[in-house]
Amino acid sequence: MNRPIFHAIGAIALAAALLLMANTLLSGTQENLRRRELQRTMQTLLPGSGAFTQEDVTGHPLIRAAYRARSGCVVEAVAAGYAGDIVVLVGVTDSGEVSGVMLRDLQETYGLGFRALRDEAFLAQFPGTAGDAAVGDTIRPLTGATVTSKAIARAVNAASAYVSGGDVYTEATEWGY
Amino acid sequence: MKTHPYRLIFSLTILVGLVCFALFTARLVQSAAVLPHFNLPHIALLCLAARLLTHLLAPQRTPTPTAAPLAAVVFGVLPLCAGLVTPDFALRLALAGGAVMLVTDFLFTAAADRLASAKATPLALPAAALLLFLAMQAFTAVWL
Repeated sequence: MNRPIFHAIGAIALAAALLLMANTLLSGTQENLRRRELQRTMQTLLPGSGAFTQEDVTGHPLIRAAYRARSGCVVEAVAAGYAGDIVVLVGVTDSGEVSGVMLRDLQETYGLGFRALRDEAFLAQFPGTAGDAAVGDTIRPLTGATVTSKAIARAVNAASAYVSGGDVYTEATEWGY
Repeated sequence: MKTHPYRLIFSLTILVGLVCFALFTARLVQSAAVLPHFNLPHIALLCLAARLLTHLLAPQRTPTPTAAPLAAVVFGVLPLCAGLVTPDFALRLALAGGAVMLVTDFLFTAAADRLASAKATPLALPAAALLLFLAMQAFTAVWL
């Protein structure tokens, strides 16, 4: 057991055991905190909506999850960006009007598409749209990040179409990507 | 200094373990945070950092033959144990980790060998590693 390879394997096993122990002990807490944070975010995106109930979204390729409430729905939509999927949480009223938008995940290029995460002026263009967000028309894209801008608009349109009962795929793509 | 054939894997295990723990903690305290994913440039960054650290401890100008398979184990097992990836993705991560370690180890040691042939600034090797990482940006959206 004095061979160095056993030391290397032992080091990997020790690191794995420590991470597994932390994960096992804290995964429940992590899940509770995640749920609580999601509830807070959904209340912000769709104010005064009361309790949310998750609904089945099978058959909608751009919709990852949907949480129905009294006055509308919060939809987790996904669209292909420049460097992987962009996940957007969209608050939509029953009439299909977007009430709020928040980016949940993106891996776009730092300094270009990644700016979408914090560019409030860009994201503020989406509330009030109803499946008609079109980059270059109603939406001014981020400079140097047209693909990212279009992907976000596509996800927001898909979310709106999902709630208003429209065709999620074609309504979201009729103007571009 | 005595050469240890697995020093590279020790360095990699520590770096990947710390990154996994940092990501796990970040998810715990701020679940809405947009965190970096495991993609090819990030894997290359970890491999190059481990390689550079190892080289600073004990200069080495030949690739480590066992580095690739053991790096595959490190990249496959640690993120899975931290609950950061699914088993399916961990398998792909392991294959990518092994391949990236093989390539970066070869390129880094080749650069170290070249630089050792003449007088060079101590910053030359870290700069070479940085350029290798920047070159890997081209693979951002590939496979993972």
